Amino acid sequence: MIPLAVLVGKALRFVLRLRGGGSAVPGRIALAIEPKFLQKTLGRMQRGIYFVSGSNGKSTTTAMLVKVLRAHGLRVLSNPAGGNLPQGLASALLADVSLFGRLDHDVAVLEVDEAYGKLIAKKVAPNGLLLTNLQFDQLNRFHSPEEVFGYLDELATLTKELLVVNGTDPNTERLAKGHRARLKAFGVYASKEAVASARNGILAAPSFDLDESDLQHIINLVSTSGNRAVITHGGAAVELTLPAAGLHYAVDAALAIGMASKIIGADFKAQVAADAISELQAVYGRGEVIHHQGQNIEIIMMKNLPSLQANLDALQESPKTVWISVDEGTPDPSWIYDIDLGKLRHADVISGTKTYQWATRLAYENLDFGELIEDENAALEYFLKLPGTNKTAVINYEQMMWLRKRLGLLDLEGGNA
Amino acid sequence: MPKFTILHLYPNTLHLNGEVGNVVALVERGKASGLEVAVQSVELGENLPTEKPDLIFIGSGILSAVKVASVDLEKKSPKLIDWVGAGAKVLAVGAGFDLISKGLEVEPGQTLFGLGLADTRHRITNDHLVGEVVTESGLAGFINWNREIVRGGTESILATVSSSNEAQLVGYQDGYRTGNIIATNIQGPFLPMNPSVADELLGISGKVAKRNATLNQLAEKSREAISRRVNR
Repeated sequence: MIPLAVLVGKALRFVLRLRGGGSAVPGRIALAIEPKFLQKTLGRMQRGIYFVSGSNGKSTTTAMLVKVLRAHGLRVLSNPAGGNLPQGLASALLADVSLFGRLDHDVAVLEVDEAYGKLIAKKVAPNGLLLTNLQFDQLNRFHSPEEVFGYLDELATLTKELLVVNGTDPNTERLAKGHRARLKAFGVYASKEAVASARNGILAAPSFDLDESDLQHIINLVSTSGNRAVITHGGAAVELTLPAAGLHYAVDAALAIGMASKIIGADFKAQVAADAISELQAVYGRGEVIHHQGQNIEIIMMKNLPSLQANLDALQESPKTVWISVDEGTPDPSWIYDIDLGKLRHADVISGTKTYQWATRLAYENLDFGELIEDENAALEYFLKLPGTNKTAVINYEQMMWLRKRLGLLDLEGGNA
Repeated sequence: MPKFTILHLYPNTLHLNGEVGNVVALVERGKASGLEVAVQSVELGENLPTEKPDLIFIGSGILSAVKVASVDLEKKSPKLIDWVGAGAKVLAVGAGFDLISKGLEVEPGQTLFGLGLADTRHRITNDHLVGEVVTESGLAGFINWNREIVRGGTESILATVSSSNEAQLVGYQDGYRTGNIIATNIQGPFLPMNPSVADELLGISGKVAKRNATLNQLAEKSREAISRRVNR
């Protein structure tokens, strides 16, 4: 049934793309015709399939891992973010797959959603799993990090050989310890000095586990400063340039290099890996600067508490012209009271449906909150007219996607990864 | 300057949804009204202060945090219960409500210790209610909660939800209120979003300092925005 699934899927994909935009429909149809579509395509990958999951840093770490593997000569298949569900993933595969289900790649690296990852894993079990962290994220959806721990634990149970985790995060470390009898489990650890480089550290969710033993170290993050990081692998130290400043990027890079070293094996070269990551651009919204009509707008993403805190901690100086915009993509922004605003000392304009909740937060801190303009179009116009060319936007994910579209940056996330 | 002391229990262990914002609201509003507000934090294993505070605050947390806090709280319970009996006010938010109840059943046969300050028994359910709410009395905020609550009497309800974007939350009976004790599952955080309750706890209702008037306006606009969304 594979040829029929591919043929129909590809035709549908072609027609739908002519009408503009991607869609999960071709993938859904391909899966309906051939329920084992993912097994018969991805499952044939010679060097295996690897998943990347966790609360934050999935996109960045996946992009880094792909880059490092390619630098070692591997042909890597990856999924655009959003291709997290089986049908979305199948749709993405239809672009590359031959009539008989063959893919021209050696290895697949897939970013998977914490909760939905198992739907893909049940169809095609990963050879290895990389877990970035377990942090406070989307409590309206996940209720508690403990619920997410359960999802990630299930993903590890469905994994065949290899588990690499952020060892400095007490929850992913604990999770890996629970699987080390069956899987090869490794930890990527950040030194105390590296952790202390960020005002609020690694921002892990709490864990009340008392087992203080370490996993087997594969990579250690020795230090990081600005957009530079030093890691050690097998006793040798290499230095690399990160796509943007911040401890979280340094940890992502160390995780990607650690995972790559295990996928590649004896042929792995730390310097090649460091050079590959040094060439990488920021995954957008994360330390990205949007250039628009002579203005540089630095994006500070407010995806959740740890991501906003990590991005604020990475600020080198107080931003001069600040726009905050948050909409219903953040249903309950109560957690902004847990944020250490650090170098963020004022706002010039606040917009979005949560305008007044943010203004209240700044007012309690005795900080100027500027103009309050709920309508984000009007707020953007006001913001762009403010004097100066270097500006900062603190926005949630949905507002970032809106802004990119509004400013004519039309590529979808991950399209250039 | 009149003093007002706040005892914040387990701020590093119990924090889930910006509950510290409630303490910020009490401190800042109290100061603006001429009170000398002091906050003392007590963590797991630490000793309680010697003097009775004016208010005890306890926030929410993940279940494993609530479990360790419950064990620690049992050791501290005689003194805390005495203080509340002698007039100390209590504000408990989220899982903090579990910890001042007569116990939280986490699974059949396993019930966590609660201070018993609220005449309620709590049980974790699989039915998670999540959404923005406005109550009959005009409180507003966000509820994210999965408990069944058995009450000693209905007069103890803090508020009844009149509208929400989650149909199951309409008619939901929130929190607890009796004498000097207030408990709620409304986030926002609760006091920055509903500052009249903060002023009541501080004993400054009726005299609105200039700074608090600004904060009140922003809170009112925040509640209006929620009200527009849930009544859409």
